[in-house]
Amino acid sequence: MRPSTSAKDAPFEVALPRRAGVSLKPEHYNHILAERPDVSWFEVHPENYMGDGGPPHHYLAAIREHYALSLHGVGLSIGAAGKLDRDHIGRLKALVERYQPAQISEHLAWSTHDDGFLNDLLPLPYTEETLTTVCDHIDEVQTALGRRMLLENPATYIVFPESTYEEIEFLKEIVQRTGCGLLLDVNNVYVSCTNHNRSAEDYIDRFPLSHVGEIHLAGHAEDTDDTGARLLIDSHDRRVVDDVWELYDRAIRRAGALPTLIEWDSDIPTWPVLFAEAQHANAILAPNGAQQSTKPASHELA
Amino acid sequence: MSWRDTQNAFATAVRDPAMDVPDAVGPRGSGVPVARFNVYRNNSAVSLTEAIADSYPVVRALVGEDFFTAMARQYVDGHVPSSPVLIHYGGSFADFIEAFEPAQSLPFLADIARVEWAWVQAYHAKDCDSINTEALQAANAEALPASRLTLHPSLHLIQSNWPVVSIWSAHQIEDLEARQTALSEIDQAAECGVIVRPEFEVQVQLVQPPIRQLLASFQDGATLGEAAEALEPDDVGDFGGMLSYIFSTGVVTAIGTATGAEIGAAINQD
Repeated sequence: MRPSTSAKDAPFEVALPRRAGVSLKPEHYNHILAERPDVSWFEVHPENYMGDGGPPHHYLAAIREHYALSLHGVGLSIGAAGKLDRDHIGRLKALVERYQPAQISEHLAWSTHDDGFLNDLLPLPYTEETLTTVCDHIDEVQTALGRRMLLENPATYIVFPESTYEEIEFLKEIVQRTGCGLLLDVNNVYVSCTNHNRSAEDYIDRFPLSHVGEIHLAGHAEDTDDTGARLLIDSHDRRVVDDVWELYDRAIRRAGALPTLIEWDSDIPTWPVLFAEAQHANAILAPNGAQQSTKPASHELA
Repeated sequence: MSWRDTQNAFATAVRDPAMDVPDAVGPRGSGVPVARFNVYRNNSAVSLTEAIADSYPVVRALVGEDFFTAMARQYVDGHVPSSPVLIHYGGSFADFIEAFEPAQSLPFLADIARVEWAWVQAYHAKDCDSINTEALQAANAEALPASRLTLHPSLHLIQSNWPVVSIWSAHQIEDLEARQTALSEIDQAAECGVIVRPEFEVQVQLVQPPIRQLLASFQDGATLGEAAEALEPDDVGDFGGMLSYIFSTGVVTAIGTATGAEIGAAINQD
């Protein structure tokens, strides 16, 4: 099932609707089923649906009947030096078969170590060694699932002086070698570039957008480090800031409309707040070739 | 340094805030960015502590936010999840609480945690249709003593020296004044509970001790006859009533039909 060489060079075939989707949270299950709001797709962390049964599966199955789905993993630990967890790949495969998501994605990060799962997306140096490791792991996942995945650029707080690749070059190399697509998290770009004193505009301008199958937008927290320098933390707990909307607009004007997720994972807002963020993204996508809504105009903003 | 070695050093330092930031990280030519590395330490410890808090809301309500966070943080420091599926993280929290010195003034706290863990596991358990009392009535009476019951995958049994089912139930009352009243009316008695999710909602039911005992026998694979025999003599007389009750709660998913030989053996025993 390894994609052919020619497929690796080709632009990523976008699978999700080219409109805004939002993170699916239990707080909104009933509202979504009752009102069928006009968002085009939902994204979940597959790890939250790896129980054997119960209400989470009931709701996900019911919502999947009406909306496209994206599975965005946080537990594969693609960047770890050790072997991938076969059991976890098996659980992911079972979910993919059950829910037939339009897209699956993971992070350029690691979260599992010999001792166990640390529940954070931890960084890696960008070297020949880690490039080989990451590509082997992506090959393994794509082979097991029989489909291409997307890899997301990380939000980072430190850098590794030993890195020999810039992040974008590293990602491009992964795409070339594995045929995977990329998930461009614009908030992560803003967070990382601010933290490491780089130009976020330059990062966006150099990003290989033809390989992007999905975009993430989220809120972040502001802090300072020991030296008083700005330290942004990827928190997914608030609205997207104006600077990130501007970067997003910059990316979309160059790439055309792409499936865009409003990612919100803690301090979950009421539905209208989340929906308004999705509408903001749709407003930017609309003049750039967004798919038309397939649903009747809703009264969500009222 | 290999990536494996660097990763080892990184993971160890994430787990231990007293350690120095690993040598492998840091912006070129600058000092050690402790606050930056601490973001990873904080994300890991806080998110795992929140995972524990999500699973144990009644324990949290009983001890208060600050005490709970300190206790859960200490648990997290000693227990890294073995899997990224956090639904199954925190199963040893009750044992931890039992040995946690500052919580000794609340001797029932560990059993409350056991109720909450059972609730979470029941919530995520495999879905399965139950059979009701009509299925029991329809069963061949002669075959029943040698029959075995298949119990619902979500079933958990609770046996405590404390009124933990009542305390747990009182905490489901949202109105704080009404909750306080309910708590003040609880007898300080031992309790047994049955936790099961026959359909959508997890049920937490206070039951008499012989009901729990019967279900425990069925869980161990006992036949109806064997389970009845294991009851205290005073309880045996109500076996039929207890069986009907058990079926009415949705914990039974099948009656295993006894073979002819098993029926014969059961009759000979009598």
